[in-house]
Amino acid sequence: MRIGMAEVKSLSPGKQIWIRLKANRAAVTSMGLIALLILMVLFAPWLSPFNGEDIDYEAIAAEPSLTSGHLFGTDSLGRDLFVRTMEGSRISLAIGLVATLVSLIIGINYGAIAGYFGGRVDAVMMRIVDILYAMPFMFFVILLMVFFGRNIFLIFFAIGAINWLDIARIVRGQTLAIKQQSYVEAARIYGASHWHIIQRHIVPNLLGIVVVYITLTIPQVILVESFLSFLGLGIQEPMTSLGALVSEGANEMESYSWTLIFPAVFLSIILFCFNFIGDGLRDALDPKQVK
Amino acid sequence: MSALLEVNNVSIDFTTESGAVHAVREANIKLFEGEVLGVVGESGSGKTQLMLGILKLLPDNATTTGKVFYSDKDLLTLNKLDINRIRSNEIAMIFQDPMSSLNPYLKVSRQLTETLILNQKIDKQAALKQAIEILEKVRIPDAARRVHDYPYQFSGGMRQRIMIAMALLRKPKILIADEPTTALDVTVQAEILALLKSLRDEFALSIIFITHDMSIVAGQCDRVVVMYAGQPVEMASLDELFYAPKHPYTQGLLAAAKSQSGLTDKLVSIPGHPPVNTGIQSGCAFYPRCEQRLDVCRRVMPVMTGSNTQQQACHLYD
Amino acid sequence: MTENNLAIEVNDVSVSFRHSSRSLMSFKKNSFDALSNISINIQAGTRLGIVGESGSGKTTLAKTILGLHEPSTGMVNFYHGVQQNKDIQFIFQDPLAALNPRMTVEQLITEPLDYLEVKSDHATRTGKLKTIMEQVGLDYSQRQRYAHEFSGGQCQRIGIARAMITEPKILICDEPVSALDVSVRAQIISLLKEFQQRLDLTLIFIAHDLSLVRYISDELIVLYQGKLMEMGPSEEIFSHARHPYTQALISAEPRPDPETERQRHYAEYGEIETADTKLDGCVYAGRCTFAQSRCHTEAPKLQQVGESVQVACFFPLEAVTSV
Repeated sequence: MRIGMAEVKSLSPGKQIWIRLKANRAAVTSMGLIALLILMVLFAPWLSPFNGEDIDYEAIAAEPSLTSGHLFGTDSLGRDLFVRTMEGSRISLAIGLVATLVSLIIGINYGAIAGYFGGRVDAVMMRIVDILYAMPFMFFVILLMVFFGRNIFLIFFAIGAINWLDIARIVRGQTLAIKQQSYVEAARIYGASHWHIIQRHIVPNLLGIVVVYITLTIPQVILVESFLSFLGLGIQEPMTSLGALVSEGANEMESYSWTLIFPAVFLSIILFCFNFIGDGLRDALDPKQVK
Repeated sequence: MSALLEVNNVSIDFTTESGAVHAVREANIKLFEGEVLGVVGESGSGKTQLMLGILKLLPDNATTTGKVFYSDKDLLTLNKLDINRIRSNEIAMIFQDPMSSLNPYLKVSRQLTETLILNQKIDKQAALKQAIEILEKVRIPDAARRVHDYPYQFSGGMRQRIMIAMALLRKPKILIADEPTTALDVTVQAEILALLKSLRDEFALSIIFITHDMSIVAGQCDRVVVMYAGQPVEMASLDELFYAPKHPYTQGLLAAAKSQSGLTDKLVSIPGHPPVNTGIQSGCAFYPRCEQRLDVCRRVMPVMTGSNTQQQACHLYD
Repeated sequence: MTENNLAIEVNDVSVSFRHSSRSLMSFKKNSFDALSNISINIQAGTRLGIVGESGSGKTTLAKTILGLHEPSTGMVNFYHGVQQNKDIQFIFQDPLAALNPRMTVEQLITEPLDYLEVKSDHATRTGKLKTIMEQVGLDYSQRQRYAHEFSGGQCQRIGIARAMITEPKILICDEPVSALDVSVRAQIISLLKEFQQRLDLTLIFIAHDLSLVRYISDELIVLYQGKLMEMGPSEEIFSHARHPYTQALISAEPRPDPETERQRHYAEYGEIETADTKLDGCVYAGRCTFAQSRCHTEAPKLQQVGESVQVACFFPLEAVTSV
């Protein structure tokens, strides 16, 4: 076991990953698109004279046109589709981010504890995860919705509370590997408590894989919410999400196709971009890519 | 006498995300038939990359320039099929970690016979017989039974023997051994070294022995090349190198090795450490650590000069 | 050996590991004896070398002293004011693997200070960091860099700085230079010696062969398959190795001298057998060139030979000129 030639870098691990990521064109394009989208979504509605609730009686179910000001047209109730799509994207992204954050917080803690302490603790904790996996997700969400109403925060929480299972498993696996490293042993020897070790040594070295997971979970979550909306269980009016818009648009597909196309395109772009970024990150983090 | 293998002005560069890394710079090395050539170096010396480069085993981000002559061909210009034929059949290589060459999921018998059946087109029985024979040659006890075991059922030393057996199956002319005993216990190492010595005569091998350990060189090699920071810095016969080393790095290395073997009272080392990053340098790479350096050493890179038998790249001898 | 300077007493310690599932290699027992009946007295301020090949139990012994393993029988006692969980530090064999890749040198070295009972303020920490980096030969201006940017020797210096910043009383080094370049090893050994002398540390140095150990040990123990083979002052053992295994270790090592090597007779050292195949008799008997019938049926106990050496052998060797 020889210490071979160390890499020609004076860069932190984070910067190395960034450089590698930048080399991936799909990822870079996706990051650009998402950034653009976020800007659009935040600021564009101010560009339009309309808002998403007002009914324009002169342009009910109107086609997209530049002259009328309805860039994306209107829906069957006369509401401007452009603004609604922007609002819907905003909500979808927000749900994606928040729900993912919730599942992250639960998942990382759970997985790190299970993986670090091992033994019976690990066995019990992971069996709970297995059992939860087996349970029908939709059933629970529907129950929750029925009991507590279609509150947006509840949706955040419900989706997040389901997704943490995946993250917990991944984090547990990584923790098992990291636990074996010499520097963890070193920390135990110089007196670090279990919590310190988890916080300072295990979790920071997990973040790589967790970040990949985030970028792949966000689209999943958005899709779940869209599905719920499609079923009529998601966001309540007057708020809207891309899923709700798609659902509405699907009903009008034959006559007013633009009500489906625009939200669907935005939804697809968001999903694609996050997936490409996630793939790019995964490649960038792979240590085998390094000489 | 013409060389069996001739490395001619070979340089190897890697393109990494932080710039080019010059792993090997203008190496000229000859291997003559029947000899054991030691290639000595520490980290950053480029010794392993050079050997991998000869057999075109480097990753895609490596660029190799120069020529490697073997049997009237330039190995570096060969296509995939031809270089594949050379590997294992004519030039074999063994590594430090036997587990990386042995498939843990396949029985040893399968791993040994597979290549025989494919290349020599003989049937299973004949291949198995050859496999058992070669295992006996590398002194695996009870070979006929143990050939059907899995790699994990053998100790480290025995796995190394199996790897040697695999390398010798096709009766190559040249064996490149890259630190084959570094990971082994000292008593096991002694046996593997003895084994290599006897096999060399039995199989009429020419061996390139890569190591960082001067003690192993002293016992195994006929001639030695010392590499530092990607370049050969001294080349000599065994006795010349050990008893009359010319390059300051060789002298320092020997002094350190001798002191660590208990042959002196005090432990010595060379101040500083081998270069971590072989970027483009002017002057001699050893300059920062050299106690006999001259002013010219900082500006001008020395080239190999000397006689037919002993050469060194050092301004002290220009 | 005066008793009143005793720092660590290893009292008849045995350590067994249980296999959680049936092992494919050991068909008889489902546990593995890493150490058997080890008793050592370590005086404060001494330098002890522990030598053994793979399977000898040397790392297990070190970790048992550290408290990372519980002895299955026997116990490790500490005297002279030494506390197991505070006063012992460890240097790893692979310098880079022992350093968290996401922490800067400064964070790496000062982290142990966070776990002391008495927390230091920022100024004290910086002062300690500066001092220790200087002492191990590292450039203070490099403290914001990451471990992978340094050479192996420098990484080991970082590891030593981290171990020494809390001023431990005992330092255990697990083959600290095996993974380093030859031209650099002596630097690290000298550094360890300096610290040992300056702070009157009790130093435990683990090695897999006898070459370096003679420079950094006053006392030596030789382990084989979890059992003590020979124990005593290192000079004595080097000049007159009494156990056949110690002799084998000494003679098996190559020397950087072609003349010596040309005259070498290759002895048969035998393959290391797994411990569980031997239940009676001396654990080394299967490989020993001097083994007699008694060796295969009865396990020798440590006996005193000469002034201060103990050997576990029925037929300790007469004076042989060791190299």
